[in-house]
Amino acid sequence: MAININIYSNANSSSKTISFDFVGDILAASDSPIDTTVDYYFKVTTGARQDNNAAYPLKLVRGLDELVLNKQKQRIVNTANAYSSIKEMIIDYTWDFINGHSANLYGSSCTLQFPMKFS
Amino acid sequence: MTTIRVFNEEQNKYYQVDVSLFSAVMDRVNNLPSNGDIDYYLKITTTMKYPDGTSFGEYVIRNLSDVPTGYSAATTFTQLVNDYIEYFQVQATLGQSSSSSSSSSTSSSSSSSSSSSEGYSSSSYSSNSSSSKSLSSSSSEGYSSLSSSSSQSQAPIDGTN
Repeated sequence: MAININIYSNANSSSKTISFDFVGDILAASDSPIDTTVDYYFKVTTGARQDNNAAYPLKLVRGLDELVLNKQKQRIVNTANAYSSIKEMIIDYTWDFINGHSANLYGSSCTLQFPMKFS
Repeated sequence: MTTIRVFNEEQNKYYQVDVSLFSAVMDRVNNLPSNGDIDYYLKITTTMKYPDGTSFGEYVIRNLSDVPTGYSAATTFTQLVNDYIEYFQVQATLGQSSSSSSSSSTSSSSSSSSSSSEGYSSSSYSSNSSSSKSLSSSSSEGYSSLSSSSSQSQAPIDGTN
C-alpha cells in the first residue's frame, strides 16, 4: 500500500502529490553490477515538477542511512546521522521535494534541485 | 506494498508475507501516550502459522531496529524483510533445520496479492510435517540466534495493534 502525501499551495490554490511505496524488486542499473537477488526498498515518486519545469528524479531508499541529499546529509538538519525512523525519513524527503536545495548543500555534493512548482 | 510468496514443497502450498506502508496516529509509542502526530510505519503480516495453528499477528516496523525476536538491528530494508521471512519460516517449521531458507525459496511481486494460500488449516499442516522425511522434528536447530519456537515469543513492538 502506497502512501500519498498531498501538498497544498494556498497561494496558487493547487495541490501536488508525493507517493511513497514499499516494494521488492530485482534492481538493475547501468552503473551497477548485475545482481539477481530481490531488494526491498522505498520508492518515492511524484508527478510534480520543479520550478524550472524539470521532472524530479526517481528516489529509492534502501535503508535509513540513505539520506536525501546525495545519501550523505539530511535536508532539514545539517547532519549525516541516519534517520531514526521511517517517519523521519518520509518527512525529510517530503521537505526536500517541496523546498528544493542548493548545489552541494551542507557539503553533500548534491546537485541543485528547485522548489516544487505549483503555478 | 510488496508480497513475497513462500512455497512449501511438502505441502504443495504457497504462503505469503505481505509488507505494506501505512500512516496512522499511534496510540502509544515507546510506552508513551500518543502526541497526536501521524506516524509512518511498515506492517508485516504472513499467512504462515505456528505449529499449533495460531497466527503470527501483525508486526509494526517504525525503524530498522524493529526486528524479530533474537535478531540484531538491520542495516537495510532488504535485510529486515529477509529476517522476518526467515523468522516466520523457522517458527512455522517450514524448512529443514540446517538450511538457509530466507533467500532460496522466496520470490517477490509488487502491488499485488493472491488468495492462493487461503484455506490453510493447522490440521493439514501437522499431518504433512509428520510424514515428510525432510522436515526435522527439532526444526529450531541450526538457528542459534533465534529463540525457541513458541507462540509466546512474538516480538512485542510498540504501536502494534
